[in-house]
Amino acid sequence: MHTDARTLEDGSVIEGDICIIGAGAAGISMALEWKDTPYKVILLEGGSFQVEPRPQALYDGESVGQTYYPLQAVRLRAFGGTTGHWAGWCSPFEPLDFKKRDWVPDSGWPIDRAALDAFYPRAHSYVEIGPYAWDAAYWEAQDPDRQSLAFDKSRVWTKMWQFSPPTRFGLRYRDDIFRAENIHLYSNANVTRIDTNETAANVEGLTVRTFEGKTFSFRAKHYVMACGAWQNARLLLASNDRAPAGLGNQNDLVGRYFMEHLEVMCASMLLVNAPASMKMYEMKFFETKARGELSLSEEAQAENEVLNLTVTLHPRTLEPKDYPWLISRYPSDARFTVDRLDELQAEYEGAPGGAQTPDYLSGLREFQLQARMEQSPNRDSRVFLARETDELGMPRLTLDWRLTALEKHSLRRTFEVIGEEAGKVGLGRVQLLDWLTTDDPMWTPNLGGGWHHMGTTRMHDDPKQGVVDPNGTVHGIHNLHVASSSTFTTAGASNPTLTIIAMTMRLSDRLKGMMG
Amino acid sequence: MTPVGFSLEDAHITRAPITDSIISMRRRDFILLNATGLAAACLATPAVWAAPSAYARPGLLDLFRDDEQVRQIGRRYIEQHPAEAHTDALEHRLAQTLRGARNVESCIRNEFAHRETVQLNGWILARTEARQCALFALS
Repeated sequence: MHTDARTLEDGSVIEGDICIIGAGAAGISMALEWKDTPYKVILLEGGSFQVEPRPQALYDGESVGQTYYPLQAVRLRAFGGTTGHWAGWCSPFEPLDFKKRDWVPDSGWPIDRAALDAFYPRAHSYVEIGPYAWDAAYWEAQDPDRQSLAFDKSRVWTKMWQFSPPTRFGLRYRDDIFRAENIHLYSNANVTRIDTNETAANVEGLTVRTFEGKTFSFRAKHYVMACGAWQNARLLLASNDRAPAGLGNQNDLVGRYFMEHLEVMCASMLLVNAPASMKMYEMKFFETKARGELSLSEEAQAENEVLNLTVTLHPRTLEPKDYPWLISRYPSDARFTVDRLDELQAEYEGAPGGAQTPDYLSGLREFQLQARMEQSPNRDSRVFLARETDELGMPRLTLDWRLTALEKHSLRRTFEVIGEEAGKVGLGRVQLLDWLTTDDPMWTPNLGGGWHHMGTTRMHDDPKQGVVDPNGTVHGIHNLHVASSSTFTTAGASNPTLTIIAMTMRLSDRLKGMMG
Repeated sequence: MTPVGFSLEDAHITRAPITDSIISMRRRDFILLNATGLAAACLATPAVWAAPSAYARPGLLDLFRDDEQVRQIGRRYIEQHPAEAHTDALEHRLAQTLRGARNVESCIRNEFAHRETVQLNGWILARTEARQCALFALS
């Protein structure tokens, strides 16, 4: 069921069993997990059903650290959330990502990969990807043209990705949500504060506002914050009437440990021979179902003390001006990316016979190598409240994104290892780009990010080291939970969406158990 | 019989063992040998004359397909290692390195495996092939 919050009477109090804040990938999948149950599920979305300037402006904020994209451009405040412009890349986190690594400060989740094994297949169905098969050998067997490069697999392996159509949650699941009798979606419902009891140990309600000046209260037994990493932190920090530092922030952790995936061109590779087919490494939007990228083995990462990353192969002819992730040129209008993807999809679907793109890697000997790398958890990389407020009176966010020497070391050393391994097996040679050949701490202006915001309410079993416990519940607040990449303790090399949904499934099951 | 060069694409053709006597032969000796028409004397022992050319001609020529790029890499190696800025020094070190090696290709792969590499103009290269480039640049 759907209600436009603007039609509610000012001062309304609405009650349910579970209240979900944010209707993106996590919020919608969480709600659908409760479809046709005896429980009343409230799903609150700040925006409407399309990306509009006024709600987007609530995301505006200043960036004071490492240069970043305009803050309001990279997240979408509308039903479906940021899946409205995601590219559909899916891959599960690896066992390594959950482990404590001595060379990665503050690494180590309180859960291991096995804790998510049962939930990843369920997440597959929400993002509409293929079988729960992540071994390159499986995909090689499906198609003789899809073969991995002949690296020593104990050192450099081919990590598989699968591609969602991509599923635009706002379009794909709108009817399901509307028709579900026990799911109550409220659009244009902006949560501006989490209201607790005096000791801030129990959430008693949510204050919700509209641009028209109406204020409501939503109450439930359990509350799930399912916003992105920035907005989850912002809401906790801004809910400071009972907890002066903000909810869950008794140890000054909310907003800290902000992480991104670094996307940057690092090297080129020259192969001895052009492989008969490079289909394994190609990705054509809206067509490719699975492809591989290069990655260092767990053993090689440990030996070289580097962060986890994957490597995309591009044609050597790609010029910096064509890099899609360039920060310096990115417009602040969030519609830009949405429109661009819509146009691409329309072009694709309008093409006679479907995909018309030629094999763009096959026949080549020369490639550019682009990294997609986790950043090290870093307490000083953070978002915090600004003095300026938005139209609804909430303090804006300021981003202070910071990188460390470990990131550059990891990029440099990883591509050196790939070069050594390519030479070892006689595959070819690798050349580092100039900016990566020195220990200079400066970054190339071609550094980009994946718009993957993680870590601001990190998971840890010790409240002094994490905001949420291993179940995703905010330490010290028994009925406030988080379903978001904001809980990620480390960022992994995989894009976060699939893992966000898997963790949402896990939280959902737990909440069902708590509800009896 | 054509001189046998190291080729990344045709690595199998350089599998003749390199003996101590071979690697003690200097490149100018080889040239002199050819110039005086005595090469025919080596026909019975092809490895004797094949080995010097094997390291005198960088296999990277086949990979890069660009002589000037190989020379630039060689010049950069010499800049970084001025003690090896002479053909004698380079040949001596190559001979030492290749002593006992099955062939140049296997030697290079082994160096990669053991991180005996150098970085020249950004390229990650085995030390032996870098020296080959340097020798080529000096020729």
